Amino acid sequence: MKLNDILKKVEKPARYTGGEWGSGGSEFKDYNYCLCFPDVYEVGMSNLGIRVVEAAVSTVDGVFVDRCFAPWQDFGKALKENNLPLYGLNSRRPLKDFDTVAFSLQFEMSYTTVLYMLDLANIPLRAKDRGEDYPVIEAGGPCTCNPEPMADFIDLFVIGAGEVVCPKLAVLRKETKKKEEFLQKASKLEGVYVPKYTQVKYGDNGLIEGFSGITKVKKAVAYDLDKAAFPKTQAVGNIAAIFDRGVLEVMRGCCRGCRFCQAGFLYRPIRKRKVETLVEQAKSIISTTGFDEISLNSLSTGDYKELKQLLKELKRELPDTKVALPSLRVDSFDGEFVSQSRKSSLTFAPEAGTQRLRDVINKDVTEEEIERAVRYAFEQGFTNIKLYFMMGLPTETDEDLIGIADIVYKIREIYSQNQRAARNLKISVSVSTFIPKPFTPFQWERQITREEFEHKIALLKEKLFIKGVTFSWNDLEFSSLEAVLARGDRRLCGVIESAYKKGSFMDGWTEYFNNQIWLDALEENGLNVGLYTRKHDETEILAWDIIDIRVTKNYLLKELKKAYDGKVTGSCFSGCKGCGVQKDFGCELC
Amino acid sequence: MLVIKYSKRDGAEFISHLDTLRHLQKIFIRAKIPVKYSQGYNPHMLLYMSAPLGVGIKSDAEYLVAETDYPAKDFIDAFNNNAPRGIKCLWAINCAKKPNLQALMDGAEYQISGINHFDTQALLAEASIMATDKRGEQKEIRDKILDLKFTDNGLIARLAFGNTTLRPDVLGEKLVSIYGGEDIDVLKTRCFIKDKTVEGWLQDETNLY
Repeated sequence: MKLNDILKKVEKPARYTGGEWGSGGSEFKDYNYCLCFPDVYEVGMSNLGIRVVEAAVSTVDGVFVDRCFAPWQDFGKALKENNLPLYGLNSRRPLKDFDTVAFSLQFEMSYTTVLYMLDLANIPLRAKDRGEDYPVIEAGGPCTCNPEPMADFIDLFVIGAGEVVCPKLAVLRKETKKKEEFLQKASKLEGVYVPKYTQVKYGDNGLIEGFSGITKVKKAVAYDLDKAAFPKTQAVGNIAAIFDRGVLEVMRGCCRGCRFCQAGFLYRPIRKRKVETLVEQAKSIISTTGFDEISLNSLSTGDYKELKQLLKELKRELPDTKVALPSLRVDSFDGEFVSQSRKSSLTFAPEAGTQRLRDVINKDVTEEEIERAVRYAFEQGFTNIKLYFMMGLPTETDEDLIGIADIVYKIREIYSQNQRAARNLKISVSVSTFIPKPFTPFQWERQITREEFEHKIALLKEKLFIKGVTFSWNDLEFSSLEAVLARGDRRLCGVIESAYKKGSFMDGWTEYFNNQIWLDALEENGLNVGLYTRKHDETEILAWDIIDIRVTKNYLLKELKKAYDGKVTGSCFSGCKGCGVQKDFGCELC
Repeated sequence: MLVIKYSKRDGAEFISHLDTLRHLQKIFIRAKIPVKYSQGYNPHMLLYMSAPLGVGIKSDAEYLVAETDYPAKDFIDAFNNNAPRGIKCLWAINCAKKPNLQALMDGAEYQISGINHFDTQALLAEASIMATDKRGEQKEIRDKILDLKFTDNGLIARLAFGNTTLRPDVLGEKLVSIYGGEDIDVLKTRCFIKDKTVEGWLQDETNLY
C-alpha cells in the first residue's frame, strides 16, 4: 500500500500529513535536522521545548528543520507492514536522510517510544551499530539530567538549555561531516554528553564503582532569556493540539525548592523575561496564528513579580485574547487573575495533608492560605475543586494521610457557609505515589513497597468516602517503573531494548502499559525493581553523578537533613540559600 | 455576505470536518477579515460550511458562506496568503442575502480512479444496488447514483449530495468488489443545485443581490 492509502485507513490521519500553518518549509537544505517527539501529535504539538529548539536551530544558515511525532499503533503497524520508513512531516523524507535526528525526552516513560520511532525509521537502535550513513541521534529535555538508561541508543545528549547548545551543534555538524570527528569536537562543548566517551564500572554488589573517560558534564544555561531564541510564531496543528493556544515562557526556574520536585532544581537559576519582551512575543504569536488564547507558562507564574502589569498590558494590546495561567500556587492565588478565566474548576496542589509533612517537603503553604484561596474561589462561583496530593513521602504516617481528608472536610465546611447547598460542591482528590528523582534532596530516598501502598490506599479510600468527593490514584507499578527509569544506570539500556522488543511502547498511555513485560526484561538482565527503588546511601556513587546541574550535592544533602528535622528552607525570595548555581552566574534573585 | 469555494488537497483532505472549520476560522482571523460573531455566552464566528466531506476525499468544490461584506476580489489572495498547505480558495462572490447552500445542494460530481473499466450503462440499468456503508450496514444506493461514465479522467460519478448523500468511497469500494481494481482515489470536482453548478446557480439567482 502507498502512504496515501494507509492514511485513509488509520485513525486521525491528519497527524501524519504535515503542512501545518506556521510550520516552515518542506525542502531539504545543506543541513537537515529533524526534531522528534516520542508521543502522539496532539501531545507533541503542545510542547514548548521543541518549538524553542526549532526556533534556535533555524537561526543557523542553510538549515532545514522538520518534525516527527510517534505514530499511534495503527499507523505504526501499517508503516511496518508496508515497509515504509517513518518520515519528517513536512519534507516527507525518511528520518534516515537527515543529518541529525533529535529526540525530546520529557518523561521517562517515553524511552521505549524513542526506540519505536528509530525502529520504524529503519535506524539501528544502538549507537554502535550506526555507521556514517546514519544521522547523528541527539536527545535533550529534562530527562537527560540522568541520561544513563538511554546511553547506548543516543550518540549525544544535550544537558540543559537546548536553545544554547543545539545551534552550536548544528554549526559544528554542518562543518564536520565525519561523525566520529563531530562527536569528538561536540563533547568539548558545555552541555554536551557523548556517552561513549564515558565508561562505568560496577562492583560485585551491583552498585557503581566509578566512572572513567569524561566524568563530568556541566549543564548549559540560557542566562538572558530576553535575548534567548523564542519562536515568533507557532505551528497550528492539523488536528487540535491538547493545548491549542499560544504559549509564552514567562520565567524559567522556580524559587520554591520543594524537596521532591526535580524541575525546581534542574531549572535553576531563576530567570525571567521582561514585560516588553513578553508582550511583543504575544502580539507576534497571536497575529500570526489566529489563536484566541495565550498561556503564561512557568513553573510558578504567580511568582512573576510583574504579573499584574503583564496582564494589564496584554489586555490593552490584545483585548480579544484570553489569558491562561496554568500554574498558580495556592499562596499566590489572587482574585484578579482568576476572574479573567471562565473555567468551572480550580486545581490546588497542597501535596501533603498536614503542616508537618508540608514542612518536610518544603512545600511552603499553610492551611490558612489554602482556606483563603478556596474561600475566594467559592466567592467567584467555582463549584469544582481539584486537589493534588502525594503519598509515600519520606517520614509520612497515617496521620498525614488522614490530614488529606481533614482538608476536604474543611473545604466543604467553607463551602457550606453562606447557605450554599453542599450537594453542588464537587471535590476530586488525586493522589500520586512519590517517585524519588535525581537532583532533588530526596534523590536518596526509597519508594514505598506494595504492602505500604495497599495500606495507604485502603486508608485513603475509607477516609475519602465522602459525598461529592471522588478519589483517584495511579497504580504503584507505573510509579515504580518511573522510579527505575529515573534513577537507572546504563544496565537499563538492555532492559529498555528488551521491553521494546517484547512489545512495550507508548508506556505513558495506560492502555499500552504492560508491567509484566518490564519485570521480565529486568529479570533477563539480572536486575530488579528493588535495586532502583531502595534507599540509596549518601556515600554511594549515583548513576547521574557524571552530570553537574550546578546545584551542589552538598546542598541537596543539607536539604535532606533539614527535611528530616522538619525545617522549612523557604523560597529564594527570602534570601539566597546557597544551592550552588549562584557561584557560576549569580542569580537574578541574589 | 460572502460565498467562497475552496479546495482540500495535498494532505488537507485528511483534516476532519470540525478541524477544517477550526482552520477556516483561524484563516479569517489571520487575514484580518471581519466576520460577524453570534451573540451569547460563547460567541462564535458566523461561518456556514457545506455538508461534511469524508476524511481522505480530495475536493475542488467545498463551499463556505461567511457573514462579512469583505470584497470578493480581494478575498482570494487574503485567504490564500493565510491558509495551511492544501486549503485554497478558488472562487468567491459577494451577495446581499444568505443562500442556504447546505439545504439547496442536491448533487456532487466525483472523479474516482483505481476501478477497472466496466459498462456503466449496464450497471445503471439495474433496479437495485446494495452497498456496505461506513457503519457496516447494507444500504440501497441505486437511487443515489445520478450518473456514471468513463472519461479521460477516469470514472466520473454524479451522486446525491445534501439531504440524502452517497459517499463516493462507499460506491468506489462497491465497484471494486464487482469489477476489480486497486486502492481508489477520489476527487470531488463540482457541486450542483438543480442541475446548475453552485457557482452558476449563485450568479443566476438575482434575488440574492
